[in-house]
Amino acid sequence: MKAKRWLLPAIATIVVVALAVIYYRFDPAQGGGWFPQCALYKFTGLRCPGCGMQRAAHALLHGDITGALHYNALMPLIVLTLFICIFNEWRGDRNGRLWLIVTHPVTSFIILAVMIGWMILRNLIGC
Amino acid sequence: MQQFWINQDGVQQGPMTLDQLRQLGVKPEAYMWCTGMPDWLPVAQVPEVAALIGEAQNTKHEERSDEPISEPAPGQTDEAAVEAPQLPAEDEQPAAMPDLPQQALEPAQPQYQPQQPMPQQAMPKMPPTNLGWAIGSMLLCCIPLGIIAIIYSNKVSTSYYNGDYEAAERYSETSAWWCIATIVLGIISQPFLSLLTM
Repeated sequence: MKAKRWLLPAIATIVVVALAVIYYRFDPAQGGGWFPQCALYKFTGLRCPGCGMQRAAHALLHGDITGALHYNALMPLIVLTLFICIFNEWRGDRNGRLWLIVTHPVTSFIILAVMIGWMILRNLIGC
Repeated sequence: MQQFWINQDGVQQGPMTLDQLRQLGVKPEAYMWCTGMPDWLPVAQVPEVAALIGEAQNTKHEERSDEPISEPAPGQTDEAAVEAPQLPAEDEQPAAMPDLPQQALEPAQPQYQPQQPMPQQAMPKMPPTNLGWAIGSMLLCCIPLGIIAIIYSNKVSTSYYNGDYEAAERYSETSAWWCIATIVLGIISQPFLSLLTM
């Protein structure tokens, strides 16, 4: 049980460090066909809420905060939300305040609304 | 002796006598049922019980009956006694969503069939909403399918807090499957996307 409990953080750390090394070393903006691409953008030309996050990660790892926000302005918020949600599920404390906030129906509704709103906005103003 | 069943704060208790009801304390928004009644009613519509509303606060501290029922332990606050009477003594936290032992899940006698005005079971453990995974799969694989996962994740909490625990369990599974489907589709579509570029 204990081993299983530490499996997720261990894997997550390894994955995050590996991705950080890759995105520091290589720049997705320079092309290089092996970076994952967005199917939606490919087929429709529309940017999804997550588009630009790889380039933003590269910029951020090189200390270029404005550049990162330029690629995907919501990236810090999205990464933080993702981290909190997964941390909450891993912790699993159903009586904790964090669980009550994260699992509240309004929370997921807001996240959905922000995501869709962000997608519409960025395609309208082209950022 | 007439027997009463009461359902307040989502917990059903009974059978008990009028005296025991008085000791327990009846809240104005509670529902009750007794033998001979066709259906559960708000306590306010049952005159003999309605008289007990609010009475407990006044009499509680003076009279202490010799028959101990449903342990409103002395010293315990009124609120806690009413909220978590089915909990075993060792965990006394009046938490919002207690992890109740299995036997607490079994509805008390009498089984209430028609129209169910309130959830008569104690709350089971909330299933995972998979919200984090839904967001992750939506962003990392860039497919609006992830949106469906988030919608189902939302349905988990909505139905859970509405007392529909079975549906919550079902939606939790559905959202997990949408997450997996989104991620798998995202991964297998990558080679094809690369081919399109060339």
